[in-house]
Amino acid sequence: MLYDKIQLIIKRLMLAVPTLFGVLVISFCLTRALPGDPAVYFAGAMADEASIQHVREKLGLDRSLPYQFLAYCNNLLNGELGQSLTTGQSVTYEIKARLPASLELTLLGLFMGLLIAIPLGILAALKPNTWIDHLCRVLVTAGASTPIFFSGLFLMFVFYYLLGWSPSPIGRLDFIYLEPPHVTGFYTIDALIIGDYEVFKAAFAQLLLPASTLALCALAPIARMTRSSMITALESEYVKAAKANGISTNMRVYVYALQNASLPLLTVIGLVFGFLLGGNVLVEKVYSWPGIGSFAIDALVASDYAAIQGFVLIMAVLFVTLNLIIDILYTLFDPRMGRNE
Amino acid sequence: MSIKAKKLLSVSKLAIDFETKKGTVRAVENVSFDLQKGEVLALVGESGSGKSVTAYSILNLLDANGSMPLGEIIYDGMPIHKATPAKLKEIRGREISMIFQNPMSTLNPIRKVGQHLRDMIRNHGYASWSNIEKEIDKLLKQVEIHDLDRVKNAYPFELSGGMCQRVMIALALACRSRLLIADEPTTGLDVTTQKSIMDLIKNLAKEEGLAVILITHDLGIASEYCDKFVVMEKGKVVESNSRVDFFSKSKHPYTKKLLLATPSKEGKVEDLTLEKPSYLNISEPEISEKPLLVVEGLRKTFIKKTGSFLSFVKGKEKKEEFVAVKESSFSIYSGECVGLVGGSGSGKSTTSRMLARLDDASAGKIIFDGVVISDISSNDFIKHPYRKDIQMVFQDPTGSLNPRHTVFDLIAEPLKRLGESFNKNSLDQKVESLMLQVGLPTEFMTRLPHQLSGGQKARVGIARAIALNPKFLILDEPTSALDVSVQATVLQLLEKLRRELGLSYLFVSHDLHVVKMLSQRILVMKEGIIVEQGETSKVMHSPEHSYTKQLMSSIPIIKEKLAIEAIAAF
Repeated sequence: MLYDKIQLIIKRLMLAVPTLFGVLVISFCLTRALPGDPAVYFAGAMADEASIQHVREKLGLDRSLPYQFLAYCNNLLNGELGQSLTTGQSVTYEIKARLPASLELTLLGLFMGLLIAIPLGILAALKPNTWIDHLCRVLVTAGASTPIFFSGLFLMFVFYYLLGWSPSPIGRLDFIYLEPPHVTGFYTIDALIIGDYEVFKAAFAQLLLPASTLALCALAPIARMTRSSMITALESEYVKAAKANGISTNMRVYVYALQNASLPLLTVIGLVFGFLLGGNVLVEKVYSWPGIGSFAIDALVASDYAAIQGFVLIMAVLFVTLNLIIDILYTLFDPRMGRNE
Repeated sequence: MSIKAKKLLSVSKLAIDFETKKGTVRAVENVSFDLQKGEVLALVGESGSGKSVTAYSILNLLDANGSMPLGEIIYDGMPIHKATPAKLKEIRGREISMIFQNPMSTLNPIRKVGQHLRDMIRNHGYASWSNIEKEIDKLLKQVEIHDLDRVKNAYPFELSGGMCQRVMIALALACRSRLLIADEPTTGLDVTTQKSIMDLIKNLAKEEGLAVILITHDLGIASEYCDKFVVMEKGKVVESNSRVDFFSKSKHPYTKKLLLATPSKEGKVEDLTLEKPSYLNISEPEISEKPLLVVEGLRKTFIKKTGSFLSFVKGKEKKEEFVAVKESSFSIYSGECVGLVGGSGSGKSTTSRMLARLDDASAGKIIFDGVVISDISSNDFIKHPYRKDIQMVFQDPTGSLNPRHTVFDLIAEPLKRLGESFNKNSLDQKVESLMLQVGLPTEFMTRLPHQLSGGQKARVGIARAIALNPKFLILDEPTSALDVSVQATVLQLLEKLRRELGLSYLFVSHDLHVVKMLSQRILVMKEGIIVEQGETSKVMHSPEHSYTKQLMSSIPIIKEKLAIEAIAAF
């Protein structure tokens, strides 16, 4: 049993390797297919034909595409993603500094979304066509139909401008506080590690609005899926049989039905997390959040190829890893996986 | 009043309503019966008779739109029809428990069997932490499960249907319930499994004094295991009798109809209905000298890849062969019906799919009308002129009809695809005559499948199969999804068509008593091998193989079944 599962997980892990390689090839080809010549940008505005040629040779851009690809792979193996033109730093450094900011935001957003959506979905399934079901429906429709930049600006308008509950929505930390020492890169967690509750509170307050924006957007699909899979599970034969056998309502709902309903839910959470990673780009722009999303937009505007390539690659790796985790969790939760062959 | 005569359950003048969009519908009316300790009561009826709803109302398990406006249900002196939710929770599983049809899906698919039992015992506080495992072992032994450790640690999908039903019974008995409501507990299980489950229930009733309500559509099972009979039709009780009186004094025409339609060991297909079918004056078709279909050494294997992932990398993957059908040989003559009987997994469906050329054989020959057709791949057979001559009637009358096509489209489809060119008028005429032939009113032409009853859908399936004037028809359990009275008329239709058109049938079924009514010869299949074949009367009266004998003794029959004249007379 356990042996079978480990085997299945190993198989799944091996399958991720070709996927990652495919991502590598595509991100490489995409950046090469973009119009414009990076050598011209690198050489600067004042460069002449000879210096451009010189830069081209230095960057290896005069070589054949396969050679360039191999060189690129070689650099990747050494953890080298190239130099960013706009910031002057190496792309690796930029991503290291900015990825935690984005992840902190996305994870909190997802967590808040789950915290609201799952209980809401369960309640709506337990009491269909009551006020709670209607509330669920309204939230789902609103969440699904409001564009992320709009809900971001709207929340900012209400909670910062009108009510004044929120600190100024710029960046990760108000300028009067010092950054906590870098351990995980998550300001809230780093602040807790050194026990500085002032900074923790400030960082958390700063996080709340952008994370709520993401949560609103994550809420819709998760609540809808929770509701529908809970209804399916509650109407199933095994829940009916449990009822006839006098199994208590709590046990029936929260163990029998929810366990089974959590399987399709897991798939949706994976999808939503991927979606949030993309939605991040807009939220970061609206809240001037120094994450990789806003970095990518700046890079795109300035045709900063190494930075774009690095961003695409890191996002793709995140996606693949995420799907991998979801698949492995699925294998662990569902005893039927890999047994019906 | 002596203790023995005390009623355990008494249902009186019960009515059940359902709120629907079209208003309140009374599903059950004026239902009364009572039950004593150790008694087995059969609640018999066909689909839509209200028998399940009646049973569900005892534990107040009706859907939210259902209610009981009239009548009362008294269990052991308690009026449980107006019990509070807290009281109901006490009663459910502890005093009265239920088992259901389709045991595989009534167990939580991602919970181990042992956990199910633990949930049940702990929920009702029946055993302490220290002796709970002992208690579970005892329960499993009681339902005749002996490899305790394997079953306790198994998920429901790892067990057979029969095993799952035993586990359900163990759950029902976990807290010493005194009344068991069994809702079609053996529908969908093999006849041999059915017998063992029903024997188990009967023993529990006899030895532990368990009262049982058996909800069933099958009078055969009811007559074999029950002490009391309540027959329901359209929400009303039409007959309520003890065992002795039921078979001699039943008066209601519906009861008579059911009794007649239930297959028996000796009965003929024309005896299934009160009125003699009209085909009796058509003479038996002549059976040809040369066989129409010859099957030689037919074999089907499925390859399953096993072995660890590492062995796959090393190229040492093991291939395990699963033999579904082993070297079978038989022949079918034109104008004759051959029955193919076996339990689930015996390879009978695989055989019929190969003969219908929907699957390719792994080895062996199928010779039809002197031509070897097993060489043509199943993908190419659609273009072969013999495609028209070999047709199939499928098991599931609902699943085999496209829900968006009208009856006309459904019947015309094979004509358009494989028939000669038709113009609009001749197609209309042909469909109409086919509908008349299978006994469907022609005004049904524009109906969609969901507007038809089960029997009507089965007739559409038969009309489709005979549309191209085939020579050979494969009937894959054509009546197993139908009520007995509908089964009777469909069987008679099949017999009529065989006589009228001189068709040959291969009748595939798990039910020996149904098969024997139509067939001249019978093949018995077990684990992919034909273990016995011969004339129907010979197989039925002096079976040679032990499996045939086992099959025959497993099928419940009405021992008291009287001759048709006697039933018609009382």
